[in-house]
Amino acid sequence: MDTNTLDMTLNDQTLKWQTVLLLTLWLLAFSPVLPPMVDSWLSHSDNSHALLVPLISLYFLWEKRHEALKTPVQGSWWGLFVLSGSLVIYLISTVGGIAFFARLMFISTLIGLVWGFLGARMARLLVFPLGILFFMVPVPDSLLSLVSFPLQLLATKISAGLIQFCSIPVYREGNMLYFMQTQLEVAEACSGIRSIMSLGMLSVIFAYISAGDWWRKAILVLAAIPVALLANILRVSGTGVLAHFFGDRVARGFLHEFSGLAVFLFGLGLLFVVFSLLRKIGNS
Amino acid sequence: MGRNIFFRIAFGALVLTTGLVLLVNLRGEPRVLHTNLEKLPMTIADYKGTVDAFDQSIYDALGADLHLYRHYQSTQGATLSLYIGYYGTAKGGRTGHNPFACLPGAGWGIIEADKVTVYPDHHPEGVSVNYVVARKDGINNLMLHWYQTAGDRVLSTGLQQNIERFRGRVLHNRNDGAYVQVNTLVREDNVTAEKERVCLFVQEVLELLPDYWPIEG
Repeated sequence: MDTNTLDMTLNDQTLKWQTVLLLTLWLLAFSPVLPPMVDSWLSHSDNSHALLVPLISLYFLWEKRHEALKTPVQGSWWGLFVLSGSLVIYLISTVGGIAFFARLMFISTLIGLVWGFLGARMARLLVFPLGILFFMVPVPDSLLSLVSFPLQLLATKISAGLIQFCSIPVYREGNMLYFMQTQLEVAEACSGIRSIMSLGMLSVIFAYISAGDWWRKAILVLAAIPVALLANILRVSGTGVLAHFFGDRVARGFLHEFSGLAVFLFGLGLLFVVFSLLRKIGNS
Repeated sequence: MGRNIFFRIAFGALVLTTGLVLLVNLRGEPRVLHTNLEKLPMTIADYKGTVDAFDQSIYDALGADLHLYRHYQSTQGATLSLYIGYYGTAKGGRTGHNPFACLPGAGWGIIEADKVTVYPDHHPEGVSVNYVVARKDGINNLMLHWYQTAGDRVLSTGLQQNIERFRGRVLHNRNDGAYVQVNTLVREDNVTAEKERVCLFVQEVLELLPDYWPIEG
């Protein structure tokens, strides 16, 4: 339900200033939400990928700038409905102290604002740069633990099997791996959830920038989950094998951080292989 | 209809929301003034308590405002452990951890999970708490656990707790809460009798907790 009014574009000076004013107000309205959210990016390693999200979004917005300036601006009642609904949910979440919903509304209000004030065509054009901002909303701990605990157990179980396959005696009890000389705890941070989130975000970007059918893009995005799990299992197994020979110091400090980075790059490489394979399948 | 209508509506909605949000934030966020729970009696019924502590890394992971961990022993020599993790409003009033995930993580296999009703004086209709029996190396870990909020509200599920936290924050600007757990290690042939004993102790704890509920302001 778009309303054709004047055939304007963002080149119009009044429209430009109105947009800047609305965006400033949007930031002001959500100013209480922002510092705690940035704090959780910095303090919780599961959310550290979120630091990059605004930059990624700005990059893709910049890429769209020429098209955006040429797109006719038409207000949309549906967009205003999304804007108003998001603001109401934001208010309720603020009163009720539900940070997660308040943060989600930070993004949906922006989408509603673009859609409502600049119209459906502009919203469609900018849907990716705006939509990817959802990745900067930290997942609540209670929700995260529902997923991370089973993943932790799965990673430990499979890793114990792989370590035994290397003829290294290991006994598993829950998330603990007991070796002859030492023991390792597969902590929550080793569940793979962090890799799933960061590789998931990258796979969405890969899917966006790649040409091709929707099914190839969908497979690419979904592939992030098994790829992240596989990479994490290899990291836990590798750490276990090294711990057997060199003690538990391999699971601490620089070596542990380095293995995390190496395994993330491995996951990224694997995702790229999936991406290339899908391209070949599509072309053939 | 001019396009200014869209600007005016968006502008009005954002100005109104900014004002209301600033107004809501004037309420401030309450801080824990007195944790109080550490004053919970060392003698409960015919049990005498001793204070214990977990490893600091566990406390760091749990991130509560107050941890209370005690072992209680009855005059007949029966033992049980009490753990309370209290989270003030500023910490969101709840823990992200729960025994259904943490017990398997520690190598315990859950062999029974149910709810039991306990009847403290101020809740004659009874309150429902979680009952879990987990097993490792031939030992049974019998556990009753629940979430306590607003002093005397007892909740057995995370969803109930979230609804209560929302209600508490809207009505009283407070949504602090505690995770409470009572457990004992038992032989397989003794689970039923021990369950009754733990339930009686839990009843005593439930009667005491409102009097020692933390103060926020």
